[in-house]
Amino acid sequence: MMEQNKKEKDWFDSPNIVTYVIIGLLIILILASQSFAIQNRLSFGEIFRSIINHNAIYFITLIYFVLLRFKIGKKYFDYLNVLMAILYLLLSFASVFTIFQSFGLASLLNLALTVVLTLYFIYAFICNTVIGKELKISNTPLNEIKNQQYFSIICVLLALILVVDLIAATDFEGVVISLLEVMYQVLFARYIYLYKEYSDTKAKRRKESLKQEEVVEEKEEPVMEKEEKTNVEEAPKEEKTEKITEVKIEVEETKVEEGKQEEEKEEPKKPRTRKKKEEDKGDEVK
Amino acid sequence: MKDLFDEIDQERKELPHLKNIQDEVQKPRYHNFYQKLAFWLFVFLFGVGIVLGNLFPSCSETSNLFSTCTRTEYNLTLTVISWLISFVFCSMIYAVGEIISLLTSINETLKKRK
Repeated sequence: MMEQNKKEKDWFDSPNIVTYVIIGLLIILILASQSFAIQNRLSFGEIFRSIINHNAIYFITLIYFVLLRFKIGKKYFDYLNVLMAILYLLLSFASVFTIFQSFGLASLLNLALTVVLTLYFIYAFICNTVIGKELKISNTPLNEIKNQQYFSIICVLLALILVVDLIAATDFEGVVISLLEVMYQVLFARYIYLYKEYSDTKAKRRKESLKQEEVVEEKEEPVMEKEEKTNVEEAPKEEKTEKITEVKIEVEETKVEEGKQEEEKEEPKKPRTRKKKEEDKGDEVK
Repeated sequence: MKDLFDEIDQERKELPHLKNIQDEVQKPRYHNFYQKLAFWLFVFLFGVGIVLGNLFPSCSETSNLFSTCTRTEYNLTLTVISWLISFVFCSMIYAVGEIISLLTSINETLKKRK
């Protein structure tokens, strides 16, 4: 049954396939934007200023996902997530300044998307780590929105961005790049969603196992208590008999002691009586 | 095929506690003039990096007809590169300050021996 369930799993529900697709998409996106720039006969300065700036974030996320396929990436997964969170914070900071550069619907939507993505990333990956617990991120309003809601907000924002980009696109290259970007960002959001689902189900399983352990302990406790009670009930009988015998012995001992004391008491009385008799006799003689 | 998150969960290493990092950073140290200069210079160059990213924006959209930029965006790469360069430059000044402080402490100990 488990194997069948695994086979029935959709590709977008499997983190393995999602990460592979993201890696493929990122490679295509970087190569396509570079080749379009060269095709359009952009100068070195323009490529350096615009294309590298555009592709830097994709290149860093590509390194992140490639590292996840290796042992080092798996071992330092939390460290990589902290770096990615810093990167996304920088991106949101940059998108704030982009609004001053060119104010418009596209830049506003981009700001909203980067801010939500950053918050979602911190909510999913940093909340359950040591730093997240020490900073008490789970008590912040971040947890007010659920995993599914975050994902749907991002999807809606991406759909709006796609519409705006497609309307503004003047050439084929622009359409291709904007489509690839939206696809990558949906998959990235899906990756975050899957991780949060995984960590939530894991936490639930832990709670359930703890509850089960408690229930088993509670079931065992009454049996133990009954056994203890029966032991306690049996014990007084034995104690009673023991006590009775002890009391009997004590009574006997006291009787013996009293008898001795009486004897001792009686013995000194005799000389006194004799003395008294002698004194009486002496008085009579006098 | 094993689940990726299961594999990660088995091998992941926990992050260090914030207290440990704070203790390491907030160790009481004496800083000489060069080290203080390096710190404040880095703060200044950090701000300069943000200004540079705004002054030289990257183009995110060009018109085909006149090949002019129709939409600009903040140049984060330039900012990050300037931050990195300023960090390296300031850490060099800080290192000079560290060498000077070490030499002065050696000089003082030698004077005491004499």
